[in-house]
Amino acid sequence: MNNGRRIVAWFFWLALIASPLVFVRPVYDWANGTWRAEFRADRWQMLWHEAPMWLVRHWTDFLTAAGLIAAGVAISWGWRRARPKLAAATPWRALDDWRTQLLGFVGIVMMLVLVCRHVGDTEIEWAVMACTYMVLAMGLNLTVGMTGLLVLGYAGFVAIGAYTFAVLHTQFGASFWMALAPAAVIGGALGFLLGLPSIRLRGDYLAIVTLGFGETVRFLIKNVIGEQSLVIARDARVPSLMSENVAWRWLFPDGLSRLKTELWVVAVGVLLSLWLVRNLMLSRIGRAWIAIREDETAAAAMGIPAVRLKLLAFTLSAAWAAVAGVFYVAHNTSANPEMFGFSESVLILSMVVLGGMGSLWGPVAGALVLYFVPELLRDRFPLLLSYRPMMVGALMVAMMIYRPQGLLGTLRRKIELTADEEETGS
Amino acid sequence: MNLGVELETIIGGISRGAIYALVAIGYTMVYGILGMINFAHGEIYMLGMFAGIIMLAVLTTLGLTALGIAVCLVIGLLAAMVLAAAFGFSNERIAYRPLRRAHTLAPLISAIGVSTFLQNFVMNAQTKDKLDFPRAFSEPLWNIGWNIGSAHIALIQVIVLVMAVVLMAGLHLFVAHTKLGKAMRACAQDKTMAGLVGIPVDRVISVTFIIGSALAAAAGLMAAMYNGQTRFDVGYTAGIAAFTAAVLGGIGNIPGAMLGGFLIGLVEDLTAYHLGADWKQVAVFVVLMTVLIVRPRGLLGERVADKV
Repeated sequence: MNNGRRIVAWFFWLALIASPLVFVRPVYDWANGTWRAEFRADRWQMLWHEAPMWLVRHWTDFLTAAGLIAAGVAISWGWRRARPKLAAATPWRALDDWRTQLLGFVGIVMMLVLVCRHVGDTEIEWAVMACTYMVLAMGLNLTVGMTGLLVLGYAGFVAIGAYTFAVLHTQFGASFWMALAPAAVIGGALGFLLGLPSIRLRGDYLAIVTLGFGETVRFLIKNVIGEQSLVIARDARVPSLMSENVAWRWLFPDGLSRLKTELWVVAVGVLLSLWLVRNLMLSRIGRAWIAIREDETAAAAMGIPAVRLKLLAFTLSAAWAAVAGVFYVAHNTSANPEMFGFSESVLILSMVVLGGMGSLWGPVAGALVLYFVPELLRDRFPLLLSYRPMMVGALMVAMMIYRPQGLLGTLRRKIELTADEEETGS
Repeated sequence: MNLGVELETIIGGISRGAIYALVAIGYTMVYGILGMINFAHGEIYMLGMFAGIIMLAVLTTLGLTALGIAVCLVIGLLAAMVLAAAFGFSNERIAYRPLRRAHTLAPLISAIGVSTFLQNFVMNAQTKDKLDFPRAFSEPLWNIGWNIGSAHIALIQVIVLVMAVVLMAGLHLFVAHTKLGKAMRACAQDKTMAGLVGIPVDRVISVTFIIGSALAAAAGLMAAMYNGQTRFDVGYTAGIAAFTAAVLGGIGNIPGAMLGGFLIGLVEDLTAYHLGADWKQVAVFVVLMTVLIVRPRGLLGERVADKV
């Protein structure tokens, strides 16, 4: 590693570790520009008097931020001392260590508490949507990334879950929690039924079949259920958690609004997905998927039941999308066929492609870059949101040409994607 | 059932099918040579629509309508074809050529990227709303017509059909009888071998893209004239319908694409007439999935779809 890259790496590492500081009220205000308004030059005197009060008033936040930073430093140094060579080559492997996982888990919970205390509803809304996209991208990654089956109609499976919930709710008054299992079952079953005849097709044909399926689902919903939105009533959505309990009031002075509860729910979803995908990747099934992706004929010759495993990936990824769809509708408060168009499938696909097909953290990074960052910058660059689809398109081309394995992809995937296919004929 | 209306639907379906056939040829030629689905082809068709309409608007502004409708339409057509050909050529150069030796899915993902890019580029650069085809150029063609029994045929339908047939016949002659056409057929059979015997494979592929895009643009302008309006996202639906046509006829097979185009046009218009316009898209997608699953080589295709 040369010096320039090392400096950049250190810079990012420091920024990552120092990022909890954003949640300390004064820093947060300063970043938002409200600090300057509050403390103009003529109020420096007051600031002098108020500064100690600040520390007192926001001591919990300072403490939590300090804790987070300490945890980050501890992870990085502990890991570096324990496995210096491995740490230099692959710093992210620290995440495989159980101590790191525990610290990270505590850190995430603390972070969520801080977010719920201080961050405005707009930003939380973005975070909730970004997390939903993370879950979706991880689900799509099972087929596109790990098994090498390109699915172009992923939004169709999301729509199936969403409409399972919406119809169950409008017909039988089902709530969010009750709809999760039926949506997973129906989504998985439809994915299985679609996969059954089409899984033996070659890659690009399968992609087009799934595209046709996704669009058919949308049009069927439009023609049979109707174009109008199905609204989910208040009490069927994720509840808000208000309590007079002292400890609860101390932790969350304003209680947890519905949006903030949703953030917790979706954060659990992301963690659960990460855990599931990681374990799948390391399991027999995951390794078989990767073998199929690399060379299906060879994998089949080694005794891997390729068709059955491909169907499993397909079904699992469909059920995954359906569950995310239930959450999406509960968050969005209504379901409309236009929400699940082809562009949505492309957006999710581009998150996987950008982050890295077949990598664990790739979809997470992809969702952050393609959903969260444009929203974050929307005030400063209002055109960014309308140019996002264009950026997505250009990015997909550029990624395929210059970095087919994605931002966080593995070398193995790169070799596969750029492999010379001359000997198989074309 | 009303026989006259039925017949009119069939005539409408055939002229719409002629448009799909022209677009499908582009899909099928590229697939025949490169073995990739050029997902951005529908966007080229849409670009042709926009270019043609803008050219006609320019002609109107310059007061050149005095030249006559036919001359103006031909100028618009040429403008559309040239622009679309340029886009098709650069698409291949920028997005597909570097991926020629990559995994099968890489060019497809890249093509989806190009498609998304072009669609939103037109949306941002031109308009989000529907763009009307100038009435002055299409109205007269609708007003002239003939009655066959109780059915009515408009001149425009005849023009669309004749134009499409002429272009397809021209393409057939080109592929069957010129040196470049022979090179194309050689490349479709075996690119490596064609390169070894001295055929400039890259140039042949560029020519394929140029021809396919120009045909798509011609189809686009005719479709805009026929439907009276266009929008930035029509390329997607029309592209899927044309791709369905190509697959239905047997992908990689030019006569198959023509047959498939006419069939898809008929399926669309008959479904729209009997079940309602809402079901048109569903019919296309159902045909697409059924053909791919049941008979991936299509009606006229000889090649068995390979498994890997």
